[in-house]
Amino acid sequence: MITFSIIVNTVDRAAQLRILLRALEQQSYPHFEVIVVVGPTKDDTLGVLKNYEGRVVVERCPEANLSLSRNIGLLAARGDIVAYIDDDAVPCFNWLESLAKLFEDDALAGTGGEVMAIYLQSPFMQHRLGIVSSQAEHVNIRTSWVDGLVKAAESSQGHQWFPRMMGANMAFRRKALLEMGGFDAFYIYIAEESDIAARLAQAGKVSYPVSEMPVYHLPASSRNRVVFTNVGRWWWLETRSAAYYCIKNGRDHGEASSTIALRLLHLVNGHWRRYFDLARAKELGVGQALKMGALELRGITAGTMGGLMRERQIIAPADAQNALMTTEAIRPFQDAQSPLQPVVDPTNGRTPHVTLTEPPLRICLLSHTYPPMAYDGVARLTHLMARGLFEQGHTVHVLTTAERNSTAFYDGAYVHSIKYDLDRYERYHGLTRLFHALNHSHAAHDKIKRLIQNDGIQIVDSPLWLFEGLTTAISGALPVAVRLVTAGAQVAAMHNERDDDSRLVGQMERELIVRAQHILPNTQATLDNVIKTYGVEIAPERCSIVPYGIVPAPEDAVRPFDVTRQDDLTVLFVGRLEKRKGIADLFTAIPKVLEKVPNARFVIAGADNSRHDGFAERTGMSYATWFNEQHKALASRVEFKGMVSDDDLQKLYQACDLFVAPSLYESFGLVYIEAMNYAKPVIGCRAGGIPEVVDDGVTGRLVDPESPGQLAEAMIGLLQSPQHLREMGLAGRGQVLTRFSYTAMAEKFAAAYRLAVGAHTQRGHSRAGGNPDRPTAGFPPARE
Amino acid sequence: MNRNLSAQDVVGEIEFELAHSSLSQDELGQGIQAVRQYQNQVRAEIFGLRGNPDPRELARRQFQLNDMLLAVLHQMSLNLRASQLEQRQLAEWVRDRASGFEGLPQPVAGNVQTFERSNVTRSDDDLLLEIQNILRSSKLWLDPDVRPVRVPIIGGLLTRLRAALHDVSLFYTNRLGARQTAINQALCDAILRLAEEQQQLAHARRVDVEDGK
Repeated sequence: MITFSIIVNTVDRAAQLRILLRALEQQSYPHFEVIVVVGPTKDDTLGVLKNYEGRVVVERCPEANLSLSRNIGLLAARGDIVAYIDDDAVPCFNWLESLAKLFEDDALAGTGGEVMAIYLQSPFMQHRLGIVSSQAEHVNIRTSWVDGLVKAAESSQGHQWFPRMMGANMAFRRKALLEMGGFDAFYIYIAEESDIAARLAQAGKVSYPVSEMPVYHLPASSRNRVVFTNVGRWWWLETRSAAYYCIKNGRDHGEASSTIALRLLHLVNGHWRRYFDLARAKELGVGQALKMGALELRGITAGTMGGLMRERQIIAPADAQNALMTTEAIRPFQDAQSPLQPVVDPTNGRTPHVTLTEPPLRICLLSHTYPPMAYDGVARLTHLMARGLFEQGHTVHVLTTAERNSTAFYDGAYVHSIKYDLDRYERYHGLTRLFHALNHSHAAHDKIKRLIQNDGIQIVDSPLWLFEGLTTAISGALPVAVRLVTAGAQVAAMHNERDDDSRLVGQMERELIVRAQHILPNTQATLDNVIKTYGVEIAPERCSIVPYGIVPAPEDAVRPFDVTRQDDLTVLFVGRLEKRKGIADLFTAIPKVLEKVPNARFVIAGADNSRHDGFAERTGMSYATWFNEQHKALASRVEFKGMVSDDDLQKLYQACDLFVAPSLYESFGLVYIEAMNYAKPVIGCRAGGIPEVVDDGVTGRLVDPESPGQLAEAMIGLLQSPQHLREMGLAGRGQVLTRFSYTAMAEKFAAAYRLAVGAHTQRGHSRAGGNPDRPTAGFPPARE
Repeated sequence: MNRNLSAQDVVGEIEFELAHSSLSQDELGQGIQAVRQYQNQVRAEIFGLRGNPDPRELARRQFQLNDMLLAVLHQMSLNLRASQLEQRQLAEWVRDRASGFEGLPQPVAGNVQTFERSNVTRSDDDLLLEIQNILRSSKLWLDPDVRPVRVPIIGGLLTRLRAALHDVSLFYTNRLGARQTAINQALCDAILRLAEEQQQLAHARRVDVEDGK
């Protein structure tokens, strides 16, 4: 059994350190200790560590010198492997487990994985399969195996190149590192990991980075990081380190002295030019530029002198030998409670306030689009699910599409954007939707494979729409749960589309339903409709009805009806203006209502869809124009808002007194809940899933579809009864808090996922579980 | 033609893509092409323009080529291990399907780079050993008989002078050339073996997929 010492070097990053330690509780591989080497700190770092007394080895480093700090950690380590991670990063779930497999190869001395910067605004791959030359030139990301090497070699006149790991995610066999004397403390901050790469190569040891086992990085500010982010007073440190590196490693690898000297000149020249350019662009004052130039000279002089005159500042052989002789065992970091720790938000350290009795799940949600880039129905729902599942303590990964691949953490979830290429399923090129959907589904599956490997996801949740999860469902790699959102086949039927593309898309959606482990309709009506549309049978044990939820409005935003009010009464309609939404029935009912309740006024919000449902063809007008033409006298009492923003929509809900949406069919009817959220009574039809949302006589009224008379009667009845307006509104608000909140929804989803994972595991197909050696029994099943 | 397509056709295509996905040779081909291109360029530079190649330069370029070849070889080796893992899983899948067991696991390893040790066959171990031996043997060059003169700026010149004075240029060129040729030959042999094995696996998998599923 391979044991690890995770070494964290930190100065004044208490908040980040707290996040990292919380994240380490969730590592799947339990055989590790944590050594935190604290520099000259001024913040609450030691206070954070006090909470881990007995579980974390704390060492002190007298100065802010990363190499020295790394060596202190190395000397204190007891594990077979020392794994370095930055204090402002969190590892993927299977980080150590993957490393353990790699280090089963006795010849391997060092390795490391990807580093992903997960800023929401500008996520990027910081390091992947890096290489470095003997003259301190870096290629941090190789897209193809040798591309970077070729380009770099061409541009650098034949310097030696070596595989390089990034300090945020690198691991070494402790013995190998000690035998080399650890890190060279001349490097205060930069290039120490490159130096190790060069020295490993020089010593003939095998090391290589891999393109898996990522750590998620949120580079925090520090004194040293100013070197990279700004032209600051510490910039010269880079020059100092680079000069030293070029001389030491250039010589060791046979570079000619003239080559090294030229390289040093290039370094200084490059930086001076940068200062000059900044001064010219007025981003740097002339005095400041001159000062930077002088500091540059200081850097190059210090680095050159160090390189030529000083011996390497590495661990003394005797100390290294002593460390190697130790027989002390590691002090395990994880305890019995570790597997029950909820997820932590790596961006702000927030942890949900839940006490778990079962280990949290690791869930992958699929959504073609996702906020903040898009806010369509599926995107919103997926977003709310992610938020809710986070609040329940689960780790959520969302797969969505974008122009480039990236990973960011957003609002409770790791959001992996994938760019899918149209390089498969060429046979279906002529069937546009099918062709795209198949390629997308396959690209999602490729990413899912990596998430299984690295992040130990246990289940994939896919919307039915465009069968995103079909490839994974067919592969059987993980259980797939399917959300029965309005699907392609239903839309095609609605629009009378009978082409091959629509037909095959519908059939693939059916395949997804058949092959999915679990089905998640939002209402019984949705389930019935799907069974009818696709002609499938769904056994009750593989189906859970999960009503959608929303974010409850804060109490002070809720506006129950004030029974003492005497002014106008506002009736709100929200939805597309089309036949299916019952707009024609509403138009018929409005005059009757206004006749009986003259102080009523109607607000109609939603895009006009008259061109698509045939209304414009028949009448030559949009719905709004038609109504105003037909009922000129009522025009002042009926306001058409058109499509409104989400903020405006919330204001409309808040300001209305009664909500009405006489849809002929809704699979669920989110609009009713949105109105109930602000304590508004609602009126809908006895159709589809609406009766499962609107409790007739309690939270509002139900009428028969296409019955404008009943509709008018219901509206009049409520508008003339202030007490009902208030009581039904408050009852609706109560339903939102208990049944239709996003956390209640997430709780039901999680319960369904557990069923699906359990069923999949029983059939012996789980690969995504944790390590069987984790401290507590009952942890999700182990790998096969 | 499209009118005749059925759901089963599409599902069959997905299953085929799943089985085929780990065997993509595109990137490998690009990698080998890049190395070849670079080698041609180096050859032209060293032997074409200069009459008397500098042994240090020659060795440097050879090391770079070695690194590139090793990168390709390493990736091929990992791909092969992934393929073997998937092959085994596919065999289980075929077996389960034959016994009417639905909703079954397909390979998940793909191009991932860490695998269960137990899935590595003896031949893989041999290949890895071969890579390691190559790496170790390449270290021999790191102890040259003539050490560089460690004087800033003019050190390289002095080293070259010394080398010229002792007329060792040709000696080292020949010796290093012989060594590197052997290393390259070993790398190429290993790559060829890997490629052959991958092709065999690809063939076996296609036969499996076309036959049974």
